[in-house]
Amino acid sequence: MSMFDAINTANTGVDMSQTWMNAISNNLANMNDATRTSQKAYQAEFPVVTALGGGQNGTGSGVAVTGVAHGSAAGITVYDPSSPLADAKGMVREPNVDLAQQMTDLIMAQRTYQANVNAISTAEQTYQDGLGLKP
Amino acid sequence: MTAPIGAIGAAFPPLGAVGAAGATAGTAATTPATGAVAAANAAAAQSASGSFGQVLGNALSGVQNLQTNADHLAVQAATGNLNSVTNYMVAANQADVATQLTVAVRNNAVQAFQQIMNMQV
Repeated sequence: MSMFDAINTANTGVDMSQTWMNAISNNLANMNDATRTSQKAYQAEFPVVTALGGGQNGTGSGVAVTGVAHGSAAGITVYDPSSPLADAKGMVREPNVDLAQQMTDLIMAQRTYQANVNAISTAEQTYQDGLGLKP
Repeated sequence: MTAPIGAIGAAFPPLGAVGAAGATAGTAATTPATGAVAAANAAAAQSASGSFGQVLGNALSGVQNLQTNADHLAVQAATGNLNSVTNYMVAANQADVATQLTVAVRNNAVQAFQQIMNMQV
């Protein structure tokens, strides 16, 4: 329904931010996953998004998550001979997740979520104002 | 009984597409000359515009769809299957605003009918 375009568009932004935060949480949770050097490291996840068209009067209608891009599977190899997963040279493979980047992304995802929620509540308030008109 | 209300219905043609009501209903009420224009617009915009009762019925079934969607999401929220908190809030807000708008249009139409009925002859 075109009446609620503003709300629906902002809601796609909220959904996108939520997916983004899910991916960041997953990256942080798996940040220290050590594996054998013969195996792949955990690959950081980055949501891939695209802008949606088809809104009112040629405007767009929000954003959609179309997939997930993955970081390097090689990760980094670390010398840790005490690990049960270490190979003959004492090396283990760890994911190449950049904590500082994940934290700044988390702040951006949070601010995006808040901004879109603000857009929803402002649009809702505006509709209520329209309803307040005296005929 | 329905005939005069049908005439009033012509003043509120976009009711089926609830969103457009604010735009044209206001002009139709203030200047009688625009009534024909509004009716023409409505014919172009919505082929299903019939009597006031039909139009209001269409609007109410649209509102009913929004309510059903909100109820569905409320059940998901209660059972813990809700994907996004805002999905429910948005659906509930949409149902609320659409219901208020439909009721407001119905109240105004009935008020207009009663004003005509109370005219001194």
